[in-house]
Amino acid sequence: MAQYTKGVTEQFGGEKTTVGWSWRLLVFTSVIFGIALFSYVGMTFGYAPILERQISDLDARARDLSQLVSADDQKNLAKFYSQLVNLKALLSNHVQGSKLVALLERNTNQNVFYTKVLFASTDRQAELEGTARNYAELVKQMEAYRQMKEVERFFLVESQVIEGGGVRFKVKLFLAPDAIKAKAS
Amino acid sequence: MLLATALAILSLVLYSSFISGEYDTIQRLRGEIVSRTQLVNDQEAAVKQVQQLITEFQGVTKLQETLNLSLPARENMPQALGQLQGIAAANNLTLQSMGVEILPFRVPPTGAIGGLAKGLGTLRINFRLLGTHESFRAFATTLETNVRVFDLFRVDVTHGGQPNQDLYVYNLSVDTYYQQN
Repeated sequence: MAQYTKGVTEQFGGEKTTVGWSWRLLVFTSVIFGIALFSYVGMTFGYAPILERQISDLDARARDLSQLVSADDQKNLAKFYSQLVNLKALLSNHVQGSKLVALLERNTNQNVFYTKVLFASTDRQAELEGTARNYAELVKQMEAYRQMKEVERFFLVESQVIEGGGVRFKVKLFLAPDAIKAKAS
Repeated sequence: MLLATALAILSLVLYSSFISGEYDTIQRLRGEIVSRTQLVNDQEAAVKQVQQLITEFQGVTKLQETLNLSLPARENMPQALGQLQGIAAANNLTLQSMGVEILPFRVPPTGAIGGLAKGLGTLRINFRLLGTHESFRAFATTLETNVRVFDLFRVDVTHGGQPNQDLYVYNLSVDTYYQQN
């Protein structure tokens, strides 16, 4: 009869605990579900529209900003800027003819006369034709070319003694890159 | 117990199917806001600078006029030819012939901001002058300080007249520029 020593309350005590636990689980899952639902609704119908409104406000601000400077002003400013940039580039490579003239004047022997000068700025080549009193004067002139810092190299193309005295010659000078540019000193 | 399990499953479904998707959208929108705010701030700063430049630029109309003369917005061929003729005449050189070539546009200089610099057009003017060496020297000096930029491209000088006469024939090619519209 030992199995009948427990009372009825004690016998069904365990059953009571199981019901309380599942009730608490239900409350817990309901809270979780509630939070999830609230988050979803909050994000979809609350936060997302606010962010979208902020984006459209920023777009409107950007549009307003672009209208602050008129198209004419933008065009004029771009033209002005372009002129400055282009002019700067042009002036830094400005070829000055007077420098070539001065260069030849400074470095020509008194007994040498030029009859033809041909200069092309693209290859910086000057082709000179002239007459020297004699070969000694021509050699002096070659030495003068050699000493010119504006001349990178030169060579005598041809020379010939002419009737009535003198030597006719043709020489090619290769000028240094900045020899006749504005920025050269 | 069954209801609790159903709610738990529903919560998981809600999270995985809806909330995580919506969260991604929110993150994307927030990212857009950050980048657009940055863009608008940059634009605002740029507009302020441009407005300041425009104000300064309107105050230097003289510079603007000089620039338009140095580097016109169009070929303005008559102006270039007129200037060459005027410089030659002022230096006692006789202008014997004149011709113009229009060269292809040059690419803008590198280093210009935002590709704002436009291409450069070139007019090559070929002409022949007759005169003394002294006159030509003065002509060359005036040409290189002229308001419209002239670059000497080619010069061919031959002696003219009698052997002892100071008279030369100058065949010249000079380049002058204009800005591409």
